[in-house]
Amino acid sequence: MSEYQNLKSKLPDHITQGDVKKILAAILSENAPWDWFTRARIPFPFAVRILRELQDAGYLAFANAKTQLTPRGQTLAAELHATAEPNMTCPRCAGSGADWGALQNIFERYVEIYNARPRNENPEFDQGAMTPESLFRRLALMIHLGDLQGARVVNLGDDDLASVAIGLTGLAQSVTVLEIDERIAAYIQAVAQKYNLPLTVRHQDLTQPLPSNLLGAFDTFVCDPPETEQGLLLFVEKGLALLRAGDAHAGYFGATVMEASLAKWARWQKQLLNKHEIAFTHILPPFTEYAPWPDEKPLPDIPALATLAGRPWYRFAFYRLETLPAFQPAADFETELSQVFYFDYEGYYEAWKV
Amino acid sequence: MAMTVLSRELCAGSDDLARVMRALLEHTDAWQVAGRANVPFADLVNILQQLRERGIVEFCGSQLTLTPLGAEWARALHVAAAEPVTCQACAGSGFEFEPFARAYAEFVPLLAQRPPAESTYDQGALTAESVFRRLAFMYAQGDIAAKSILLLGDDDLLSVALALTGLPREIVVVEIDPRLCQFIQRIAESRQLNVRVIQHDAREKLPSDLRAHFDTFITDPSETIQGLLLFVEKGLAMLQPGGAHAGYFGVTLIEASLHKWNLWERHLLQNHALVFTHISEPFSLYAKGDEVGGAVKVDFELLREPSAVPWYRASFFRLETLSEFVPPVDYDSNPRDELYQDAESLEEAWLVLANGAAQSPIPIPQEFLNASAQRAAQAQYGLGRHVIAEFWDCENVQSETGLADAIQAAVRGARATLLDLNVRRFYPQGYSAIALLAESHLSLHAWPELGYVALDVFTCGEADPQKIVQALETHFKPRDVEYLKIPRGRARARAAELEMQN
Repeated sequence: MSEYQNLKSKLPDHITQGDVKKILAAILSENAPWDWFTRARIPFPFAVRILRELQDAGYLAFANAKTQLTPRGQTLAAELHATAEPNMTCPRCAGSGADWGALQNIFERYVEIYNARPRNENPEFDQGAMTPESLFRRLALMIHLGDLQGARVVNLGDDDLASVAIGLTGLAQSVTVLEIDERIAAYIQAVAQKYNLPLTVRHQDLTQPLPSNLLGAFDTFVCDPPETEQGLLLFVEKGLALLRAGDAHAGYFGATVMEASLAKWARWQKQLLNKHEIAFTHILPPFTEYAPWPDEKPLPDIPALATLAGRPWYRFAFYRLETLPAFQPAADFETELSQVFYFDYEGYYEAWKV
Repeated sequence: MAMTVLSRELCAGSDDLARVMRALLEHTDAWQVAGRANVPFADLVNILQQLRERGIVEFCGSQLTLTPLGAEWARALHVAAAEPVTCQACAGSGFEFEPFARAYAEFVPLLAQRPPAESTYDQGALTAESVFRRLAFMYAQGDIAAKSILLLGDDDLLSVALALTGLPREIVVVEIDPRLCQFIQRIAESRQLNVRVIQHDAREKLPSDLRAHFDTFITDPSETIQGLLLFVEKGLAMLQPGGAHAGYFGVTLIEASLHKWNLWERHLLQNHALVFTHISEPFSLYAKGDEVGGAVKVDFELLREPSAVPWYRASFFRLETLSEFVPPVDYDSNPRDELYQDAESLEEAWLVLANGAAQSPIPIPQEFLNASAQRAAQAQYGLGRHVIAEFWDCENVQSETGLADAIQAAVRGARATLLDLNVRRFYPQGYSAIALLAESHLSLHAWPELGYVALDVFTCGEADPQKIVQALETHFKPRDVEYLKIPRGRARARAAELEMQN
């Protein structure tokens, strides 16, 4: 029996040979264990599950504060053609291709506002904020693509205070924030008043119908949806309900492969293209980093991951879609929270459910 | 209001006008405006001419300037120049190729000796830097090292660059141009590079030993609707089955509207078990003066001189196969398909200039009817369509040989997605096949001794079951056929639809 067949018999069906190969290549390529997840580009709980099996079956050994493949682990890697790959990501732009130097003048003010934001994030709302550098790289891209200049922008959920950064650029005609967390909504409102930014904040649960005066009223939407299949579609389709009819309106959203398999990505892409007159114009590498978040947890049973990374490791790809001439704003709808945050074995917290 | 009138007069959407205005605020060189505007080139030429007539822009040699009236229009359109944000370290690609510095130094003089671009073959070569940025990009995704790689067309000598890194396990180039084939072959021989060159027209079926063989394919397709699909689907046909194999292709907005992007994306997702993992900013630049259709054929002051610096740029797509991926059947292209030219091609700009007339819209093939029309059609069918077919007195029913290919082709032809296919032979005779489709299923039972085949095709969504039945009819060649068509799930679907309308 090959090493892979031996390992496969211990893994659940939804974990593929490609997944195993990717995590092996990541182990060979990265010294810092939490960076394995960045490199592997597979759902976090899948990666953790594979790591546990590799460890239990003696493919992976922890010694002298270092985790390495054992000789059997190396045989397995060779069998699957997994090799070490140097990190080619541009260090200057973190793989975004964008340089936000031109926005330097507002960066410091933004960071001040960001650091003073209400913390103790509520896990119920799937919160967590990206690093200010990541946000500014996104901003630079949106400006480069002409999607903020003179635009009516809407943010669906705004843990990152992206609306504030957009407001500070002075480029957008208006920025509307739909936010479920009243503390964040109140904070953004206060910041807007203090700096005289063109921001409107509304308390909004996205599972509920949107205010009818906002439907079909925006040029650009921005959101960071949850990663369940219906969760992402809820946010993006609400975004599409808010865009104006016709072409050249843009939607931006973050999506990660750390909590969503590529099979799920394929279902999102198909669903969105089949239902709406849009095209995907960009799917950019995962340059967006999450800042360490309050309920981030280590994995005590895997020595390499028994302590927290202490620096960003959770990353997102950045999608841009653009509407076509025949585009009509999507129909608004309501749903139940249980339809959005249901059991999904690709979710982050699944890794602790052994 | 005036702006709407203007954009209507210009036969362009207000978005195209805004894009051109933004490019005009950022650049004065006409070619750079063309590279930045992100509208099809012919539309750009058309818009520029009309802007000049209206006193919005002035031409001076190859330079363009907005008039004061033009600046006013830009403000009215909420258009402003964007600060340069492209990362200088990686030219916006997000990846560095420093680790390949040695291969790059060897590659640059080789690229310079390449036979000149030939428009008969829709050629044009990337700059050496762009070739290596693509290489770094692909390498970073794990698609190069130890991989078996197929290049469908290789104007850019990417095969040579790949081989110089010494990383791939195998590199095969399929190229139509004999000059390029010889050139690459010569380099490969003299430097003992691991490159196999096959001179072949990709419009015809590829050699069968290449099928389902590769880990990665790379192609720079032509940009007509069928042209891109032909190249990409040929690439897919050559990938191994299963997940985590990659395909790369370059696409521009200079010769393809987003409308075409939408058709391509939908078609590929619908017909193959794959996902798009990357769509880059257009960081791939074509060498100056070597851009596709570089020779200006009509006297037009602005574009009389070829560009002094690269301007023609392409985005880079990466797709990845999913675990249920099955390589599609290879095919000969339909000679009626327009593979190289359409109303968005660079060449079209010269027609616009020659005729001074607004161009005709891009002809959309029947099968690419717009999505809403298809959805409306679908509503009539309920949740799905089921066709039961009886084939009697079949000429080709004795053996199951070729059946799997015929089913794959039939499914593909109906724009359905094959997830799994199982063909079983029974003894002493007879066979069955069952195909799981993303859009439901197909089942088939053959009684060779009676010349009879029982076929069931059930699809939901846009896929047409009748097309599958017809394709299999061609395979079995029955003398007598009976059909029964059953709409499935109609009552409930209709009720849900009425509820939505209310």
